[in-house]
Amino acid sequence: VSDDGPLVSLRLTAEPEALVLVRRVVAGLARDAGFDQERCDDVRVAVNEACTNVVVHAYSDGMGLMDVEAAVNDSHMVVTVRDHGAGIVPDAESTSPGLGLGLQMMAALADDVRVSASEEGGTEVRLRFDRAA
Amino acid sequence: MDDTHMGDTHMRVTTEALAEAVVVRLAGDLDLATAREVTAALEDATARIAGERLVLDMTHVGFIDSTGLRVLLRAATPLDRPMVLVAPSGPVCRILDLTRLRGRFDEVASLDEFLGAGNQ
Repeated sequence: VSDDGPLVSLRLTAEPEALVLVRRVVAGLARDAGFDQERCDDVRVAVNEACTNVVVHAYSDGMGLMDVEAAVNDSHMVVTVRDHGAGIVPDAESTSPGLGLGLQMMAALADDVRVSASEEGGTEVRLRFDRAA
Repeated sequence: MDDTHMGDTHMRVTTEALAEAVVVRLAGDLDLATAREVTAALEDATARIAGERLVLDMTHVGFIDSTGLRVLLRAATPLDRPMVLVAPSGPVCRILDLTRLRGRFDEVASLDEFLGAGNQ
């Protein structure tokens, strides 16, 4: 989004109780950037789904970290959610309950979703939200 | 009693048995952090049902995600008649519409509306 790097960078323990904090931060950022209420809700839900995937799937052997970065410019907001886990890119045929539904929701709410293996191992989900036309 | 869990889960769950329904009231966000507590309450409520409807008061739920949707679907599956959702908020309705799951539930604007309609 910007050469100046993310506006917000969070490093959290990947646990269910972290989700509410992430939601508050990204929705607050969207609201401050002038996104309307519905768009703020889109950001809140989609980012929550990406983080839920990290909490549920990234660290099969226990605890790990979850990084959330967010940046906003005149045209859109980008949120990146990264884990340092096994590096399994979520896939629609996974038997894990709910993974497919969460991905569908991200795809429906964000204007662009990219899932990739991060350079340090683990998985990175990049969500882009355009300002309402 | 529920208050002991408030700080951890951001969810308050209460259950009330009426003549026409077993009513579970939620106040908080329905997500991965609160799913287990809500699931347990809905399972307990379902076990108490003998012909009444299962009613979930969502008036004070401002957020639901895919984990929360699965909680609702799992609770609704064993029921003979659709679970009744009371006053789902705008954000909750939007997610139900987005996932095309809204039709799986009956919906009323208030508990009084449900009770006044003579539901048995």
